Amino acid sequence: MKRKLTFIALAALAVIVCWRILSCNSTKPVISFYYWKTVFELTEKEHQLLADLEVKRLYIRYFDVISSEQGLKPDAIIQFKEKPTCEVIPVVYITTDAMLAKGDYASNFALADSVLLLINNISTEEGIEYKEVQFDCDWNESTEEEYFAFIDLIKERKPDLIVTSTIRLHQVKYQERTGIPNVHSGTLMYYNMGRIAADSLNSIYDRDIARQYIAGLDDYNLPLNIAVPVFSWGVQSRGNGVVDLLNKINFRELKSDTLFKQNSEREFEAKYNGIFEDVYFAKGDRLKLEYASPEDIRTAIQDISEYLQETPKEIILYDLDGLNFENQIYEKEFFHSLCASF
Amino acid sequence: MKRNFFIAFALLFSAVAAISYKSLQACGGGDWNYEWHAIFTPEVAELDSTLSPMFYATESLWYNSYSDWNWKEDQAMIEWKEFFKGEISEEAIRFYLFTNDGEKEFAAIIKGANSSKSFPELNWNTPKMKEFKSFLRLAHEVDRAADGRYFSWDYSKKKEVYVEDILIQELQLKYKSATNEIMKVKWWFQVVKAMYYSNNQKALIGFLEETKGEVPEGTYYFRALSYLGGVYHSMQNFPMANATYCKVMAHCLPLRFDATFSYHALNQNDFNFALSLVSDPEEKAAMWTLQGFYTDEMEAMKAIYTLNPKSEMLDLLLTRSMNKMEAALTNSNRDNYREYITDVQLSVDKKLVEFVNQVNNEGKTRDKHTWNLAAAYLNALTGENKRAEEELSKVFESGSQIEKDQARTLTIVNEIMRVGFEDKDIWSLSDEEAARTFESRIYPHLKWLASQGETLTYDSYSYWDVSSKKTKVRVEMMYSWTKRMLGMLYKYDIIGELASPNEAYYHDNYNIKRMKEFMQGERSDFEKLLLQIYPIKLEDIELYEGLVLAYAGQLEKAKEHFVQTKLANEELLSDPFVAGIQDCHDCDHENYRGRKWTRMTTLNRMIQLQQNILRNTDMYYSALALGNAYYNLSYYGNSRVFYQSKLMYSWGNSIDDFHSKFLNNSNRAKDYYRTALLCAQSDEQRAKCEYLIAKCDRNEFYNFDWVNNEIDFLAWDGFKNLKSKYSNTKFYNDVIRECGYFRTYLSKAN
Repeated sequence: MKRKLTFIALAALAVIVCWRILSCNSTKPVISFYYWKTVFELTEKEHQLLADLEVKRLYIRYFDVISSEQGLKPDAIIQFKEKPTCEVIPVVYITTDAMLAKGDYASNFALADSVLLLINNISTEEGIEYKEVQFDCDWNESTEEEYFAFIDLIKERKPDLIVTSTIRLHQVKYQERTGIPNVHSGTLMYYNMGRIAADSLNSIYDRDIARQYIAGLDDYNLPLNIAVPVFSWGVQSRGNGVVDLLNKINFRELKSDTLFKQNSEREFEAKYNGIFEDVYFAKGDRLKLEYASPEDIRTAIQDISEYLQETPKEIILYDLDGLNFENQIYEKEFFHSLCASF
Repeated sequence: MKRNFFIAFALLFSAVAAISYKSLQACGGGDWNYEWHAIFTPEVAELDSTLSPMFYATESLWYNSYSDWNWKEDQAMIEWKEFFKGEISEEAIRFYLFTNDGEKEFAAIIKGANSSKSFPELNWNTPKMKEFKSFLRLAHEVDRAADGRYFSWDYSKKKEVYVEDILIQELQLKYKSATNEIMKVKWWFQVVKAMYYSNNQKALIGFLEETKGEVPEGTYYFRALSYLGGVYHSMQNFPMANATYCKVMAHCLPLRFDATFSYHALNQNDFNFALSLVSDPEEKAAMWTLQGFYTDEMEAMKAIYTLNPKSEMLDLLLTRSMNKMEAALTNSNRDNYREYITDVQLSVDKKLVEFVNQVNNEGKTRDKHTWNLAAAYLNALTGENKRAEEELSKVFESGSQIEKDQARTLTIVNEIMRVGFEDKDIWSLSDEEAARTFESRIYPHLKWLASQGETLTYDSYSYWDVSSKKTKVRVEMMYSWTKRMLGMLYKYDIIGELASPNEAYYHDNYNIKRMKEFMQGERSDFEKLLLQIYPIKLEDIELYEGLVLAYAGQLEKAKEHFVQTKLANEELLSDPFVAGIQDCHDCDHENYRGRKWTRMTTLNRMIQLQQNILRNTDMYYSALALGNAYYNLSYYGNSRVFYQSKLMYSWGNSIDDFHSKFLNNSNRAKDYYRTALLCAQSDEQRAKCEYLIAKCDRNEFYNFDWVNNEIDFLAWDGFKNLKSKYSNTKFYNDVIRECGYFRTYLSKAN
């Protein structure tokens, strides 16, 4: 009896090891990008990035769905100034307000039809072929029903379309309350995890906070890709209060602006009253830069890989903007080595 | 801000698409409760309503809501009525100009229909109707470009539409050939608008130059300037754009909000340059106002004061700087009076105090009382309390109602700060004489403040409802701040508790005794007022004392308190003397049809049962019923209403930590169940007692000893005895049927 058990255990171990080896060799993740600006026009540097990182797939935000007095409507529709050369996965960002309001709206206008039509019209006009779409919505207990019904309707209308969804950390931790959408796969957004505050916290990535959420991954019943942050932003504060959030700061310009003195690697302070990037800074206001360093990203991937059930197919960088790669320097092989670590 | 600019323009200057304005209006809100963040009320300045969106708003750029959007529609109606002189009805004009149906019917007319469904009698071929028709047709064309910049589900519409040159030429022709004065201006404005939405916006600069002096400087002129500012803005020529917006701000009241919205804040050098582009003092003041709105009010106020001390804009900026300044009151988290007032004093900008005092002394401003109030407030917070009092007395003498009301609230601030500033040794108000002086000064104003709202209680917590307040000044922060401050000032005194109640206060018997004596004694007006707003009354304290004694088993003593309070007559929702196999107090309440028990009758019955036991009569039933009563009056039982009261701080599933030691306790119940077991005369009775004891053990374990998932099941002694000794009873089978935990025990035991 005992020998038999040992044999079974060894055999099982062998199967697991082989499977791991096989799966590692065959399905290492690849690098993709999110494109989140309203005009699609890449700089030379951005083209170069796509080539260097051998990017095959671009997740392009097509439009947002917002709630307005006239009902649900699209907002910030993308404008293509050039045709993307990679495979395009249209992404639609749906605001929570839109999902809360949908109840009133669904009766006279089918949101799913409008969304599909607009995706299709944009793609046709721009000559983009797509077989997959992604929806991005910060759904929770109160919007779960609407969002999932919306996803189901999309799939019902277009059975051949691959439908995926972004997944936020709280949706993993509280999966029993928020549910899991019925989609082909999800993309775990591994950023924006803390509160935006004047103190030293980093709201984009905080390992301690992240680790409180990821334990739920090992029984999360959906294949996941991972989205990691390469963007940054600046938190302006006065006293203990946050005044403003500045997107797309050019670190070099910030460092050379005479308005500021640099208190530490990530903190700047206004020396006098003045304006930076159209934002007023009173003397003494602080600007805290928040971003995930390469080291943070590496640790994040290590932490996630401990819990993920399957190797992700993609690591998606948020977002494709030359400025991000000017602000932060990544070693040449950095992203490939991340993929290799699986 | 920059991103919104374009959309804003599309919205602001579109004459026909009036319906679309609503969306922005809705975002503007009006739900912010400014009362919570400020004591200084900007409305005291009694400024023109077009400036009120620029009052300081804590969580958004605009105060209350956007300005009135309908004036453009109203103005157009006046013009068309004047033009038609009764030829067609007002209703018809409105229908074709401003409704979607009107737009549809008009489209049919353009396509050649002779009449329209809603107004079939209209003859579209009179000279005036022809002009109307041309105007509507061409204005719709222009609006198509203006509206085309919204996003819609139709992707083909999303691409920007520009007004074609040919349309601009046609409009220019109309303008040049117009003989009617009203129509001339209207056509001129359509040319402006068309140029703005064309591929060559810059042409607008030349057109306005060419036609200088041809149209009067009315609202259309300033709307045109706003477009011009937009052109400069899109050319990134912000100084010129700003110089243009300043003209609008200075001379066209209804467009003040639009000008502020569009202004682009500038760095010092660029701003100086922009300033050099305007020479009119009013326009200069306007530019300072706009720059001050987005950056630093102080510099702007100084400049405006030099240009025109009577400027309304100066008062506007004063209200903003006062509202920003008073964050000093909430920024300090200290709970020590002396440390708190020092924090506040240090954080008020001394330059602001100096400037406001200077302006106030010189008395050259438009509304003197606003400056008296501001000076009073600043001096109150920085230790010049005598001076603050003098300023306030000027307002009490000759101010308007709202100003006087503000003076009342600021008097309270002044008196509270004054105590510590005038006597540096005071850390709290323990000195009798100082306290009486303070109280007599503050009392009339405090009484007025208290009369603006009502203290309402929700469970153990109270809140202040001001839904029917009469004053127009802000009182909510004033009220909570005053209570907080009195709490600090009278930290070790009953007054401190009355002003700022502490949950733990009644945990101490000495405090209970002291407060009861206080409540029943002769009190000053000041004390009576605080007692009046204090959410806890004598009856709550009596009930609390009675409850604590009842749970301690001192039933007779508990009764002495219960008889003092009518709260003892509140009804429980079930029978506290009966215990079931399962604890489901909702089910017990729903099914209960028996005698109505109150706190008092329950206590009386418990006393009776206790006496039975002492007299050795009816032992089993008495002990069982008393055990059930203690069980049911605890968190686990069916009569939680018994303890739910203000000072217990325990409602629903939430049990206050301090009271948990008896509300989560089944020991007393268990003791009586044991007595019942000893006195039981049949196995049925014994079986029941064993089971009820097990219930108590189970509660105790899961409440106090259970560690996360380590043990999820225990075989209680009561269960074991039930199985080994009383499996022959009916009760045993009842338990099997109703209690899953017991069934699990049985399956494990086998």
